[in-house]
Amino acid sequence: MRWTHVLALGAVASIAATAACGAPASKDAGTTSGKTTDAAAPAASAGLMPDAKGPAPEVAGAKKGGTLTVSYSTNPSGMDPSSQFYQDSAAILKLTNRSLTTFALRDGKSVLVPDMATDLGKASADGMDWTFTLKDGLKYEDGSPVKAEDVAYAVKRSFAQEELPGGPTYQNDFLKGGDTYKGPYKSGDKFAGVSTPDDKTVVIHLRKKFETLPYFVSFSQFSPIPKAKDTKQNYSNHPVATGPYMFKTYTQGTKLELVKNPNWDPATDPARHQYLDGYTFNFGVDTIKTQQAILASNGPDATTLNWEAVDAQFLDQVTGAKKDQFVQGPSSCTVTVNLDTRKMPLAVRKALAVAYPWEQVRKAAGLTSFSAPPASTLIPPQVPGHLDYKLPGLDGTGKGDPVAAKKMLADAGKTGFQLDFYYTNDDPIAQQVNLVRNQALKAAGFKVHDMGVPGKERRALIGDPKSPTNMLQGPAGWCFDWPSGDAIFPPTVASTVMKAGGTGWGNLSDPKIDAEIARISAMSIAEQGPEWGKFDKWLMETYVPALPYYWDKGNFLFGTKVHGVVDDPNHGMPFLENIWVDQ
Amino acid sequence: MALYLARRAAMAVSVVLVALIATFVLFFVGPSDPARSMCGDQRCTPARLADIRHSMKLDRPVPEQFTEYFKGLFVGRTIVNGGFTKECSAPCLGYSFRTDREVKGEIFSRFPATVSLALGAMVVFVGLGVTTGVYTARRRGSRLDRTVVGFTQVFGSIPYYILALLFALYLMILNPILPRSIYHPLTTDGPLAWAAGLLAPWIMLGLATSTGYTRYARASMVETLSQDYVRTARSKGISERRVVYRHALRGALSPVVTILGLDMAALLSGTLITEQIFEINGIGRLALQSLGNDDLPIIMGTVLVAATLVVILNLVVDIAYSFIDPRVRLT
Repeated sequence: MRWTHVLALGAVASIAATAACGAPASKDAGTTSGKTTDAAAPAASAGLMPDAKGPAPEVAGAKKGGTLTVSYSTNPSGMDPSSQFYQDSAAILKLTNRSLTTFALRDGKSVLVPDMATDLGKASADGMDWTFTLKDGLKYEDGSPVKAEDVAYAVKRSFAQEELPGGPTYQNDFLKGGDTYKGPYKSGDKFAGVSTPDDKTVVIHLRKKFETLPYFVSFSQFSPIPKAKDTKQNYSNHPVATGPYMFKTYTQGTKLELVKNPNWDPATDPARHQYLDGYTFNFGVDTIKTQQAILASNGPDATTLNWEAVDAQFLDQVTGAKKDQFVQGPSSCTVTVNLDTRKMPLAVRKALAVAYPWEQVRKAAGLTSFSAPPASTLIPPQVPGHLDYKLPGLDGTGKGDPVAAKKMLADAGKTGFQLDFYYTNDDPIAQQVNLVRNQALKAAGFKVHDMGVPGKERRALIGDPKSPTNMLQGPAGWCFDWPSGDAIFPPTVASTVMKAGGTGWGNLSDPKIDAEIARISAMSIAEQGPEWGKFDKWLMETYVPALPYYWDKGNFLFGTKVHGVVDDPNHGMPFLENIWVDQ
Repeated sequence: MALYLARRAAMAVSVVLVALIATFVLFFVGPSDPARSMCGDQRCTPARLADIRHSMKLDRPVPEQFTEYFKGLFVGRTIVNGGFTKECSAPCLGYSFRTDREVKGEIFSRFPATVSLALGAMVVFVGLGVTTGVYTARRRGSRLDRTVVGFTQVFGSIPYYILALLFALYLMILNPILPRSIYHPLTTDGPLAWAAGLLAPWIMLGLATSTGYTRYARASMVETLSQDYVRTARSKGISERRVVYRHALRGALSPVVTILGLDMAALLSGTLITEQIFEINGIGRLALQSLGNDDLPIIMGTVLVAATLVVILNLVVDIAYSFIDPRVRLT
């Protein structure tokens, strides 16, 4: 899942400013530790609950009525279920458009449950065909029945990426015929990747095994769209609702109002509630003013929520007198300092990790533990199978050890190794970060060649695999699309990334990595988790393709009359459907 | 007069054209890349980026893109976005890269908010500024005069965005003395809701802008009151009230009208800070958002509106001179 616009502007700005280098001195250098977690162990892990039934369990104390206002600074580019790929728009569309599966809150954990389907899908013996059966009684907002062909049409429509750009592209890789099909507008209705034997059955046909498909079909791209009501590029203005709420008014870039959908049946929905009369989303507001207003909670601000990183000036309040108005939790993102293994020897990468001044750059970037706890692994802790290992110098903490790093460089015969990277020169925070980073790296015996470029230009430059750099190329981090390693490693370290002309962690292109990814991806979801944890550790020990910096967090500030705010660790967004307000 | 108007109209068109070309060129020379923005930070492979760039027609030569844009202003054009073909009637300002909405409609939908904000603020700052300016000019050197002049200098020297932020914070958010700012359309929500929603920004923008008008009006009035024709009027025994408001004020208003014309052009083009702080969805906020999104069609649309308003209001001011001050003749 793409980061929210919020993250894209906020966290990424700091990533751009800070993601780059090394690791701190480790007191227990030479040792590693690790423990494997499973789906049940971590407080917020994503398990599977294939037998979950509607209605969703009541939220303790929840009252009905009122409107929740969500105000934040950025603007979703649209609300088309086929082309949205941002966490904020996904959270909003979850209220209006149901998919085959979805994430629900159970006992404080985020679990995958059947949504419009009766279960999480049944795979054929060879794992190449997945059958989903629709529940009875599913209706659109106008009362017309939901049919399997509508889901199939939505799947086909997600391939119309030229007409409706911006959505995910997993379907191109995994669905049969997905590499050539261009969507219903260009290629017509004939598509081998999906079929509907009857009104209740949707069959997804794959070109390669995709064991975590049940997660992928929770995307809005699998939310039914009646072909007759497809208004093409205008569909974004009013997607036909199947969830508990529907669009009342939508002015792109400004405001979205949702009201209750009278044709939603809670008995069919194990994830959502209809506590509120409606939701109002205000886009493009000033973050600090909004957060100030929410903390003061006068009038309508008492029922307002903001999901941006809490501004540092309010930390005292949210940890003190106003702590009941603040919730934080994991998001799906790991922020890293990316290294180019093609141009930087392993010994140098390890020395860089030891030299990296994490604490200094964290301070210069204004990062706090509320939004950026130090990371030691590429897989975030809430993902099932996460292996909690710590390698020397690779835990995102410490001030760096220039003496040890200098010795490592000398031992490798690489004293004075030149680090080439771009940094943003039109942002004072980025400049400050660059300054403290350079000082530490030079002290460790590196020669630093920093190339200052404007932020917007840097975005293009770091995405070029041929750029004259050996570190800090894109991506500056990764947000998983579903809680499994196959949503983290194939798009970042498989050789297909470089073959496609992109950049990845380490800019790796290694058959051993590809083989390991293929081996693990062929396992069942339950088996994959621990294997991805081991893969994470093996990758870092063997290649050091990137230095883990921090695991991004979701921050939610809300008025005194807002209740039931819980973080969804798989998206870094609140479960909006569980929120209720005092009137 | 006709020749004068024709000359000014030609100049106006050339100013607008230069502004458009400059914006277009600056956009492409600068580090803006709307395709990159659309593509995102992750999974943005060169092939995907090229696809988006192609679908947005950003891969075509800049002169060709501008020629098509300019032609569309007069005769309309057919826009192919991805697989969809859309007819865009003249004056065609294109479709937003980001929201795919027609720019013309987007600007027109935002215009009433900006006009409401600008006109309401104008009533405050012209009324307050001219009144206090004239009043203090007549009592030049008095304690009141010194107080007012001092206040306007202090108030006017504080950056506007700080004043506006504090005003909104303390009078709307922390202590909700004024109603929360929001734009309610006059035609659908009625005059009360419309005025209540705009009251705070009207007061803030009006107060801040009035400081300049007080000083302009005062200085101009002081100078006019010392003119021979004013002395002559007084010597004829005309009442002081009539001398001030009938004779002197008319002459003193000329520089005020000049400033007013320019200010109104700026306000009607979008009051960026006011609209952003008070969350009024007008042209200014639209321009600000489009700059952040590298949304060239919207940027061009707002520049076109701003440039057109500036040249039109300049022309109006020049013509208004001849009515306000009989000494001015249009030639």
